[in-house]
Amino acid sequence: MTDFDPDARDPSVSFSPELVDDLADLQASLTNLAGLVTDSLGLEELMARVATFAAQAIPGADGAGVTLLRVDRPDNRVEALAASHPFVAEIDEIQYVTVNEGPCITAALERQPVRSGSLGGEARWPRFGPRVGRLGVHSVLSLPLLIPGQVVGAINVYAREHDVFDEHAERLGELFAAPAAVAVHNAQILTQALRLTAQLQTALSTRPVIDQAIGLLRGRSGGTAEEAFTRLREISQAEHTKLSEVARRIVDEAVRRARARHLDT
Amino acid sequence: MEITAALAADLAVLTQTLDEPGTDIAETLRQFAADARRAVPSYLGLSLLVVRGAGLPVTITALEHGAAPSQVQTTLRMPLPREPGDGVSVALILYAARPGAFVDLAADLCWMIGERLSAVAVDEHLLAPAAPDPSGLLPPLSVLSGSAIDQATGVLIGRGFTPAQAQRYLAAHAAESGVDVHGAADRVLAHLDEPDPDEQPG
Repeated sequence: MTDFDPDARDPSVSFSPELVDDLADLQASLTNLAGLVTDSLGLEELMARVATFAAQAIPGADGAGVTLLRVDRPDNRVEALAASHPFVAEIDEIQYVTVNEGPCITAALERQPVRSGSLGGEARWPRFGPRVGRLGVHSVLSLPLLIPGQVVGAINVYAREHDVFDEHAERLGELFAAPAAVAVHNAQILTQALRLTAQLQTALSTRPVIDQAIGLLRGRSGGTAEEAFTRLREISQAEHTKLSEVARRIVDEAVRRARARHLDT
Repeated sequence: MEITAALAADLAVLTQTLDEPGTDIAETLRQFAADARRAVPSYLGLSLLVVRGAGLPVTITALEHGAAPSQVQTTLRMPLPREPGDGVSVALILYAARPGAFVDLAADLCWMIGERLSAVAVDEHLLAPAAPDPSGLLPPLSVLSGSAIDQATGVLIGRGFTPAQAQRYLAAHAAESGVDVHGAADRVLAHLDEPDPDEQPG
């Protein structure tokens, strides 16, 4: 595809108004992608915005979805997914849950863009295609999300009309998918890091009171730490109360008694 | 990624502590490491830097299979937009074998959380991550090293000590016995059926 230079004077290069519009849409989508800030967005909300930008970047698109995949896990591939429109979410349900086949999976496994202009009769996806065709969606362009040496997911772009996506759309899609892959994967890293540190912080901050409660129970009735923890968990399950709250209550009651006894002596 | 038996045991205890169905902290750690490995080709592993209250930091390191601390050429402390909670802070340090391997990731992460690149710590943890003691004589590092003290505190609270009195008792008992507070706590737990006759809330 010819590089777009608005000041070009080369008469051998001509830009149709449609091409100019398409490139402007792509530029706007790439600018939006670069401006995503994650700290106030969850990963799936960020992915939903990427899906929206993808639908804007590809000419003729009626909607798009972004999926993070683990291609090495055939039975549990999808790590996260988001859609620009409800009908795309419905198609995702068909692809990943109902039939476990479709253009996104193919694009991710083959690491190549995949296109179809007539999903209803698409031989590559004999169970997916007709189901989606009956929804009134007939064209698809799926682009793998690639980081060096790895496929991390795919972008799926859909249109209701037949034969909407051509080579030009595929090239524009690839230009969008490259930085999108990095943005989404890095957002996933950040999300995972936040999840890991949050889990550790919460567990480490509540463990002391649980250990104190274990000590209290051991002191009252003997037994091992494991037996005392089991007892705490039984109380937690019986009362439908978090383990840490049960421990806190037990310790607080004992501390109140100890303080009352101290005042009395 | 190689997770030592000691770290796996600690993570199992912490997972129980979370009490959230479907959550496994060891699995969260593995998934994070897998994502980091995919983003950075020369990724070697990570460290968890845990600080509890005014205590000394505990660093737990998990390296990829076959990786060695001597291979570390660059590090990244993950820029995380999070304040310490309840006196506990956890930092993630990543290691890689190729200089400059984290530059792009650091820039993207800073952009995503709205921080300047100068705020991120790259190559500030280049001392080789702590390798396991080859002699096997030293106890493995644990983020739960205070567990015995907390349990002993609970035992003493049950005997009428306030938390402050329990802390003073353990410290005094440690000094008298020539052991550290951990040793004093272990003694309390070992003699649950035989309270010290001199034990008095002070």
